[in-house]
Amino acid sequence: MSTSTLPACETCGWQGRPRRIRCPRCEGTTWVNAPLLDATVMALTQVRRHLGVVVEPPEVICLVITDDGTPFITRCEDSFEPTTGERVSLTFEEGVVAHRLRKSPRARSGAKRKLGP
Amino acid sequence: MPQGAWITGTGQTPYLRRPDDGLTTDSLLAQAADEALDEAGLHARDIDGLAVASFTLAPDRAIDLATKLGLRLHWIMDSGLGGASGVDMLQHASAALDAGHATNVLCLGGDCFTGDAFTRLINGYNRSMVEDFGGFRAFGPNAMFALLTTMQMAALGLERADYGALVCHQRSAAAAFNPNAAYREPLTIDAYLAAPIVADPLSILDCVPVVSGANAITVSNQARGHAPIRAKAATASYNHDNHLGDGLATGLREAADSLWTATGWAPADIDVVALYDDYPAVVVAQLIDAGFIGSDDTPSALNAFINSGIALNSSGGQLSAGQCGAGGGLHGVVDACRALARREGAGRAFVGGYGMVVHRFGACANAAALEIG
Repeated sequence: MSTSTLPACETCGWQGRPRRIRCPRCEGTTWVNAPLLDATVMALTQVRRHLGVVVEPPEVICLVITDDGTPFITRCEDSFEPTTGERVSLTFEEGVVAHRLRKSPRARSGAKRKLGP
Repeated sequence: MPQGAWITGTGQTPYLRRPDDGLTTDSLLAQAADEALDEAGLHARDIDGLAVASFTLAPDRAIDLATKLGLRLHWIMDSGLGGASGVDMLQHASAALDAGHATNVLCLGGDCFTGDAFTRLINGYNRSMVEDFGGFRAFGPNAMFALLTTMQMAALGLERADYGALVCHQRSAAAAFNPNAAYREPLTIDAYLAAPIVADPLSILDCVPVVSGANAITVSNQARGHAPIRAKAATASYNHDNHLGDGLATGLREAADSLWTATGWAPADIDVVALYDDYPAVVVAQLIDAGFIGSDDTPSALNAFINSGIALNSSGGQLSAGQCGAGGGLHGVVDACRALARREGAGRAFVGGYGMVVHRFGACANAAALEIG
C-alpha cells in the first residue's frame, strides 16, 4: 500500500531508513507517522542487468536528499526518469518511490516537520 | 592482539563461476582447511579453535562443521560480518590465543552458490532489503554502489578510466600470481571502457563476479610452517556513522588510525596492501581512509599508487578472482600472507575489511597489520 508518510522520531523529527528502534540523532524511542518531505536527486542509475538477467526497461534508481537532509534510495514511478538536481516528491510502497513534483498544498520546498512538544 | 599470534597456514580453493550442482559449502570449506593445515604442518587433532564465516552453510553453523571435520575444540565462533569477517575472525582468534583459550585456531570462510542460492541471498540479505527495497524490480548491491560511485566521482573528480586503471592492474596481478582466480586473461583499458553497463557508471568489470570457493588460515600461538606471518594488530569500526553519512568515508578511517597507533607503522612502511574490492570505488575509499592516498587530486594520487610497485590486491582482488560470498572476507588475508611469502624477506602488509551493507553502504570496516621476517 502506498503512503506519503513514514515513521519519524517524536522527539527530534528524524525520519529515515533503515527503520530504527532508537533514533540515531537523539536516542528517542517513540515514533509517529509524519509526511515525507520533498527531495532533490543527488545521483541516479539505470539498472540494465540484475542477477544475470537483462532488465528491460532499465530500472531507474535514485539517491535523493530530502529538504531536511535525509538521504533515501528510491525507485521511480512508472516512466519517470528524473535528472540530477531535479526536485521530486516521495511516497513509500515497499520502498521509497520518487514522483514528478506536483504543486499541492502539502509541505513543499523548505518545509520542516512539526513534531514533538 | 597478543605478542604471539601467527598465521601459520593459508588455503584457498579454486574460485568457480559455475560450480557443479553437487558441490557443497562444507566440502569447499574442508578443502581450504586441508590446504591450510598442510601448509602449517598441523593435523586436525592439533586444532582446538574454529571460526567460520559463510552465508550458505546454513542451517549448519560452526559447531556442525566442527563435527563434520572431526575437530575437538575449546573455542568456537560464527562470524556474520561478510567482507569484514576475515579480520574479524583473525582478531578474535588472536585474542583467544592470548587468553589461553586455544593454541591453533582454524579460520574458514566460503560459500557455494548453486541453483538460485545467490538470488535468495541478495533478496533476503537483511530486513532492510525486504522492507525498503521489496518493491524494486532490480535492486541489489550493484545499484547501491553505482550510486555511491557516482557520488565519489563527483566529489573526487574521478573518471571511469581512473577506476579502469585499478581494475586492469589487478587483472595483471591475477594472471601473475593467482591460479585460483576466475578471470586471468589480460584486460586493456579500452576493453574495460567498452564493457557492457550493469548500472551506470558500473560495467560488468566493476561488479565483483560471484563465485563458489573458500579460504582458510590457521592462527597459532607459535611460529611454524613454511612462512609464518606475524599477526601484529587488528582493529575495527562497526556502524561508525550510524548510517547517517554519505558512505564515501568508511569506518576504516577509525580502524586504520587505531592500527597505525597500535603498530607504530605508517602507510609508507607497508609493502603489501590487500583491500576489500567488491567495487573499485570501495578500494578508492579505503585507500583514502587508511592514508595511502590523499583526497586532494585523487586521480593523480590513485594512478601514482597503482604504479608505485606496492603489491596492491596482488591476487587480482575479488574483481578478477571472484567473490566467494563470506569467503571474500578472508580473501584479502590470504592474499596478503601469500604476497608477503613471495617477498622472500622482510615485509609488512595492511589488510582492509569492508562489508555488510545495512542499507546504503557497508557498515563494517576493520584492518589488520601483518609482518614477515
